[in-house]
Amino acid sequence: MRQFLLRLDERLQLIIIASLVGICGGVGSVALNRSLSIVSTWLNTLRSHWYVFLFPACGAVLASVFLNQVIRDIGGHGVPEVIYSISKRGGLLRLRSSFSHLVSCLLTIASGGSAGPEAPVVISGSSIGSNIASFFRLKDRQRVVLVGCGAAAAIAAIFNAPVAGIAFALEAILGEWSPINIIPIAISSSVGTEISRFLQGNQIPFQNRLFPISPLDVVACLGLAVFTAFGSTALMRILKFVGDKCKGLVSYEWVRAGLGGLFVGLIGLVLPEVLGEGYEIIRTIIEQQFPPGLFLVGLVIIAKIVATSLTIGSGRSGGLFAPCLVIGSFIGLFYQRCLVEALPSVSWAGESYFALLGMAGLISSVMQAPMTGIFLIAEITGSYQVLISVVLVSVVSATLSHYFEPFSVYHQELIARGELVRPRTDRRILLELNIMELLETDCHIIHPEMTLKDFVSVVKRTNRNYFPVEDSKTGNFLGMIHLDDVRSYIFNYHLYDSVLVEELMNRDILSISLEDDLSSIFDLFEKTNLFSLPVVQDSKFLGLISKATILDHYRKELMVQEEI
Amino acid sequence: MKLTINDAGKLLGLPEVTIQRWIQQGKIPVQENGEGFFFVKKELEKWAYSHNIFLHRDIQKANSKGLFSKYCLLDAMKRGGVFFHVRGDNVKNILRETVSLSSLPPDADKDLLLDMLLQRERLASTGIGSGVAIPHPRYPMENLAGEAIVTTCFLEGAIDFNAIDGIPVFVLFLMLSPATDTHLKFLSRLSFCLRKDSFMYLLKNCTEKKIFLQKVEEIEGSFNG
Repeated sequence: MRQFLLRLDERLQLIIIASLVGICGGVGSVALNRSLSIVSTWLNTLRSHWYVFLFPACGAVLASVFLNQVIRDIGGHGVPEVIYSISKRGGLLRLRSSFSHLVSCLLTIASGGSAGPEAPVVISGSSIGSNIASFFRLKDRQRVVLVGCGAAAAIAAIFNAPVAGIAFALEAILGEWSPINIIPIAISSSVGTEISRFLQGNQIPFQNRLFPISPLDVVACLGLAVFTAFGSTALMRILKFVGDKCKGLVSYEWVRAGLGGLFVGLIGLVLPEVLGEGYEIIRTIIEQQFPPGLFLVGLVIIAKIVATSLTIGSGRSGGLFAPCLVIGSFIGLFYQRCLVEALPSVSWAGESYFALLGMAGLISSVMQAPMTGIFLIAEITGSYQVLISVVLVSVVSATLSHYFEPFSVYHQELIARGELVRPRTDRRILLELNIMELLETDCHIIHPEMTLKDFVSVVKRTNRNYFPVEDSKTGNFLGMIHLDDVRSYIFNYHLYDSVLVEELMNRDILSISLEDDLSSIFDLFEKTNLFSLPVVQDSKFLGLISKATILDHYRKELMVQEEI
Repeated sequence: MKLTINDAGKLLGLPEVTIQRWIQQGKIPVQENGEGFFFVKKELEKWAYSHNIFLHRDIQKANSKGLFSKYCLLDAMKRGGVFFHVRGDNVKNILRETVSLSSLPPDADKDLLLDMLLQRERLASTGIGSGVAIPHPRYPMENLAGEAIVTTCFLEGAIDFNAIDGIPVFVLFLMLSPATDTHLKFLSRLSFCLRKDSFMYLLKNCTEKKIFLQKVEEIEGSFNG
């Protein structure tokens, strides 16, 4: 089987493997979804008891102990780790990541933690993709695509939204829209969706009725974009703030998770709307059944943001998609009720219209991924007639929030650590080229006690302009002679026997060591204004690095990235 | 044809480390068998062509001809021929005679070559002094099939060549090279010979091809540079 696959054309091979990834990713999503509803139903029977507020804390402690002690995997919402692996490790992910986050997330959400099941399924899908790629011994480039396939299948299956899956994988995970990516990802996304439809039926999560939209509503949705932009900024800032504070205050991870869970449980006592993934509450809003009152909605928005920050910031695995949808729909609701208060004479479109737009706006802003927001909302609500408003809110909100939080919630951490490396960028190439590849070793080494005459005979025999000087006994690097510096002397016959190399050489040459990265080498070239610099390790000369060689390699790196 | 990583590196002009990284990243088409990775030459060439990557095999061919062997000047002189008692009363006639004597490839245009030589003489005389001239065209001759030729002509009587030292010229070395670097290489070897007093003495008194070539062989053998 493996031999047969490896003999196929690369595109065909990727498509077949992508379908396999799609099946596994889809099954993973459905499994989590099913177990979530079973456990939640069971726990709901206990809702009437007084100790219910302790549930999130217990779930959190269990999830944290499971993830950190039993499985020893990374916590948090995890998507940044997937992106990091694509940036730096050629898409390599651990096999245990394919199920660890599912279990941990099940414990978190079913017990009432405010998070969604999407990030864990993305991690598990990506990890399945990565490990299948490794099983077929595919190379980094294909493995990265299959990681994207896994993520796409997971999102597509959990939301029953194939196009949103494609958009998410390309926009948030891979960061590159190229044909070679799109085809396998589209296949995997479709397969994932089909699997989910086959196992649990073709249900549109938030089916809504048709509603009349007037041009005025379309104009009003621009105002909503401002609200969602602020909402997303608030969510991201509070999430970061709580995350930093939690790490600073409590060092034990399971204690931290437990405390976070406890606070969430306490908030849940007053406002049960904030608990869990919150899809039920969205359904209520879409059906326009949420109890009236402006103040209550505002309060729920703030409480949900805090609860989400506490859940995810305290280090548990859970997705941001679901909380974003909940907060977004509440913001939409809030905005609609404000509109009705301010201009009661106008007949505004229903609450569900604005709730939809609010979700799109918030997703687009928080992830800086407008396409994902647009397609996700269109697909999970089945309402293509609001597409224009959804597009408007998504792009305007993403643009506005860009001023406050320029990077996606998934990327900001990596960017802060300088570890987000996107394909086809200068950084990518500089990171990939290493010094050993650029090293020129065909240099003529000279010694300090040589005369100018000897040196001239060396110059005659070589085509190089830089001559490293080594101590003839210890072999240590002493300095360099650049032909330009001695050009005026080498034609002077009278000096041939009286001048020694050590009198000509430049001793304070800045040198490169093997650990230096290319961008610092470029800085060094700028500083010294030289064309070649010596690479010196443990005071031994290893070779030269020249600007011209770097250009040559740099160009080739760019050329091999082109897809034909 | 199978290529190893090392061969592929040479063909693409890249270090082995880079090729290995490209394999790892899946940027280059590679095959795998029990022993490790290998490249299929045709596939690799197609890939390089489609990515505009220059292949280094053509350079290798040119270098492998042994153009700059130890006795390259001697060989070129043997190819070009050595002639005595060449007649002519002025530069143009002498050059015409020299061109007709030299063993050029059959498709060479002798009239064009003569024009080119005269053009070069008008620019500056190729009489380099001490009665020696090295006529050559201004541009390399590409139809020489990679092999330079040096035709030696001892003149019947010395003629005025507008040489830099004004001394009439009695010997001509017609140098035809396929490329500039070849020309310079031959020029430096020839001038190395001309600096030797024994060589100059021989030139003035030489009557036999065999003795002349023996001397060149002797001096070129001692040339390093």
